[in-house]
Amino acid sequence: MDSARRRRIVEILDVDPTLPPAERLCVGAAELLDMPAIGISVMSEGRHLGTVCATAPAERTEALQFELGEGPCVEAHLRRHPVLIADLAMGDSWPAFRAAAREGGVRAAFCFPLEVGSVRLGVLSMYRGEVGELSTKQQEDALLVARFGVELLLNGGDDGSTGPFPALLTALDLQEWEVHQATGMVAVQVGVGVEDAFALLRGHAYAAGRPLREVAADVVARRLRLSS
Amino acid sequence: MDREAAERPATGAAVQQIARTFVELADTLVDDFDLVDLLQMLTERCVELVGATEAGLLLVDERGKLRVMAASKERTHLLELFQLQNEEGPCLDCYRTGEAVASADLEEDQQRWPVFAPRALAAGFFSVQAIPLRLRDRVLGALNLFLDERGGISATDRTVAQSMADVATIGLLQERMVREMQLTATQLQTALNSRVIVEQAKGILAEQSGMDPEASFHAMRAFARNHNRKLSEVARTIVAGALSAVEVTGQG
Repeated sequence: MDSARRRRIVEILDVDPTLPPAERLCVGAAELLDMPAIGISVMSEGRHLGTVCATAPAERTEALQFELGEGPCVEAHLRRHPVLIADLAMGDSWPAFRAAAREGGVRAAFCFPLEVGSVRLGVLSMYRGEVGELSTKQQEDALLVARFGVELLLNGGDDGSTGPFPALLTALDLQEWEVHQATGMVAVQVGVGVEDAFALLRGHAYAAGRPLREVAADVVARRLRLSS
Repeated sequence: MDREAAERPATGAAVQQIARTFVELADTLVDDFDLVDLLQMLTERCVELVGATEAGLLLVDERGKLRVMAASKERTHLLELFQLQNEEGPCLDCYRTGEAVASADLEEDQQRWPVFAPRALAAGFFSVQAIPLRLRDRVLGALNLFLDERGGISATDRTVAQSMADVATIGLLQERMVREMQLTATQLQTALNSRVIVEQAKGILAEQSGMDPEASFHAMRAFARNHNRKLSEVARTIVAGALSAVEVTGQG
């Protein structure tokens, strides 16, 4: 990639300096890649922890990956390489995600892991309402945006507060942390370990057709108890 | 440093060899970068290309001491000559000033380095050249060239040696940057994982004790402090089922 092109890309990615860094990257990436639906999520040990930022058209689909714990995003994180699905109607992996995504008008999904060496931090995702592959240029640019995404996550700590990476940790929705609190409560209620408790919680939300965060909020507020 | 070494004839073969070395050095920076390989190659090639007798590459460690990273020969007397330069010598001067340092005649320069010069002479070296490994104001160490005759190395050869040192410096800084990034990434991952576990532990304590998660958190933190343990470690123990609310909060 020549330096003039690189400069142009950096210009685009920095398009609105009034935005906080995460939003700025997402908005810039949407423009650079010509893909309105872009999201950056933080992952940990196969788990989608939360969305750092997402353009409006991507919010629902990003939340889906959190709710369902399956999809191209999770896959890209686990497999450590990009997962590019030009047509979500083709293929039978992640059935819950595919169905829910298509319901929301998403026909294609492209996810790029954000990693530093062996450390897997998150995923950059982009979604489209039309079936079709990414062009070579889009793939190249996406990889560049992914590198900026890594920088964003690594630098997400500088807001003067104490503790490691405070800005990043607070950027993740409080409700997403509540899910883990609810997990602990369910673990005691049912008498299982936290992994099984999490699965139960998620299963309950899916069966009830309710968002995981809402179910978790109910558990934490003691409006809901799970039993085996 | 009065007598400059005469310029050596620039044969076509010599020029080609230099060019090839630079290509090899550049290659190591891109593909499967191996730091030790790079430094060793640089040191050995330098001897061939600039007409030195022996060479050594020293880098400064976290404590500010110069350490031998590569040498053209694994001979004790040579290594000792490098090591003693932590106290005194052209390498130390070069590292401190960030500038090239040389002596065209060590016999004349014994006052300059009263410990180093006699030792070098005893080892059969009569002139010496030190080249800084430097990028702007960061000096990482020095490339040390020894010659078994007076005169040092020519201006042209000095330029070649400096260019090779510059390539090594860029490689070293790049490697350092990558390592720092990995460290930060690992710290982030640990912070995220710990946060998840702390939240889970809050939930467990809340359910066991009947307290709300916020109060559970305060109890957990107080417990950690009173027992001189880290919060994340206490949380892990709770999640593993080895510590319960009764012990932590006195309730449940």
